[in-house]
Amino acid sequence: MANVTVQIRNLTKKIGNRTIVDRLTFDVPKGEVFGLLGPNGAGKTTTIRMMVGLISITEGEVIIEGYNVAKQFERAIARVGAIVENPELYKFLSGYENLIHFARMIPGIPKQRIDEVVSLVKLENRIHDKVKTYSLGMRQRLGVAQAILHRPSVLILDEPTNGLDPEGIREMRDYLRHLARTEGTSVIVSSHLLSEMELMCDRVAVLQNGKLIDVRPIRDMARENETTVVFEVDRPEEARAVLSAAAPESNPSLGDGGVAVVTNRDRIPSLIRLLVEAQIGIYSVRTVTKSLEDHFLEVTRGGRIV
Amino acid sequence: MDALSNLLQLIRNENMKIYRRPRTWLMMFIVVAIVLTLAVALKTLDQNMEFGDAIAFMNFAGNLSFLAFLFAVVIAAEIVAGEFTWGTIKLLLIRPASRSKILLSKYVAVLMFLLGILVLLFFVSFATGLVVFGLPDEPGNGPRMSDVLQQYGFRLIDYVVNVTFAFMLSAVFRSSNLAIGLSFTIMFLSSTVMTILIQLKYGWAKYILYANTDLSIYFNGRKPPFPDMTLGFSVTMIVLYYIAFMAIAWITFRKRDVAG
Repeated sequence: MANVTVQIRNLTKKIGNRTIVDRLTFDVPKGEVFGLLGPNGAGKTTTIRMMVGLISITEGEVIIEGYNVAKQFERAIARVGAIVENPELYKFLSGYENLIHFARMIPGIPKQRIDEVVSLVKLENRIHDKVKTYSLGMRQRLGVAQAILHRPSVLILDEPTNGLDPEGIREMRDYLRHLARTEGTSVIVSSHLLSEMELMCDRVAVLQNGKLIDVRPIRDMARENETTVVFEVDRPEEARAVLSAAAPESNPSLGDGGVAVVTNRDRIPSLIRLLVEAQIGIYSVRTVTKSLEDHFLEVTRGGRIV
Repeated sequence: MDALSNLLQLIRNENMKIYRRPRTWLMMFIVVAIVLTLAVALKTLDQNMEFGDAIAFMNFAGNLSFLAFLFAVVIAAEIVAGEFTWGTIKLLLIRPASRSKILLSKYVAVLMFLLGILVLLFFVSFATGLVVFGLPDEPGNGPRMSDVLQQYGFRLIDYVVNVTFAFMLSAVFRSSNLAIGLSFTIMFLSSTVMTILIQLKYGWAKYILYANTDLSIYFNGRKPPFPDMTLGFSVTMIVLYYIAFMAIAWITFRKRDVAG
């Protein structure tokens, strides 16, 4: 367990008789970039607020490096850096004064560390200007600066790429991955942008209606065994019958100018052989890799129907 | 020792947030400007030099402490609620400092501001008085320095309780405008309402805070609003109200879910 930074056990939030977050359980190991993915209102922000002690926990617990957030708040939170929703800083102070402010709240942060994070987020030129003159992207970067000031073991960011331009998004992504790789920082990000998650995260948890409906590594999710293969053939009806007889689990269906099956990449040659042996003419074979987005929609829609 | 130095850092933060705003310096400027204007006006109107000396001026200018107090109420009403209004509360509370300690640092900063602006008034009115009216010729004629200090002392008790009330509203409501508005409304209505209740001789009205906050009546021979009131009674009431304000502020702030 030494490698686990964050342990979430049975985490639940109820307000009145509404259950906003429902028995979440997951671990985030050291150095992992972990995503909380879900539509608006799925409970991502509520989960994050409980993790940082902004709202009370109805049931369950959040353990950060062995310290319980509810019971040993000061010790647990000293290991956390976070931005909850938008990075709202003191607009009437300069960026530097904002950093001084947060540095004073944590014992043992030398002045040079402040300069270090300022250059990390590339705000050297504007750091002594008042925050009210900053663009959204600059505020976001200042938000990151205050979150990493004390070299936290876990960095929790709610919608970190909100308001950033494409260049900023790429920088943020690279930086977070860099932090996770080189400093072993665990990073927890929430987003409803699937494409972002695909590029940034090692693992993603899908939340819906406060429930955890899926946690899996991003590679599995994007390039899962379930590949859709479309055979463009001269006699689709017959081809479907042949495939149905030989491999009913691949669920052959007509469409897309041919027959579509859902199968393993390894099985494609044998399926082609089957069709050739049945004297069916094949014009083309296409594989359609399922994106995270398709997967996400599938999983969340499934949840809605059930 | 460690806990104390943490608290001092938090107080430094609160002071930075108060004094880095131009508004705060405008408040100070207004206090100084009004003292100067008052001195010049008195000097021009009072050609025969009947008004007196520097001490008499200080005693008179002490009435301006009400203005200083109003500014302190604005600071107190905003210091907690403002963090909610600005959204910065979410960054403030996710640090290794307990909510109690953060609230305490804010309360200390408010009291420091109140004391600071009263001290400013005291010295500016003293200096202005010296320059414009000069030192008293012979002691024993007009008000003495001890009278001035006593006046400040009695008012300070009144102001601290009322600033604490505004601070409590700030901790209870998430909107600084609401906290400021409510503090002012209650403060300005209280004297009118008290006058009416005293006229109507409602005995229970002596339990209202505002019947008790002016302790000077027990020392300068004036009658208390209700005949059976004593110094001990008023001090007890003030202490009880003060404890209640602090308890409400602390309990709500510590328990609050910070959402939205």
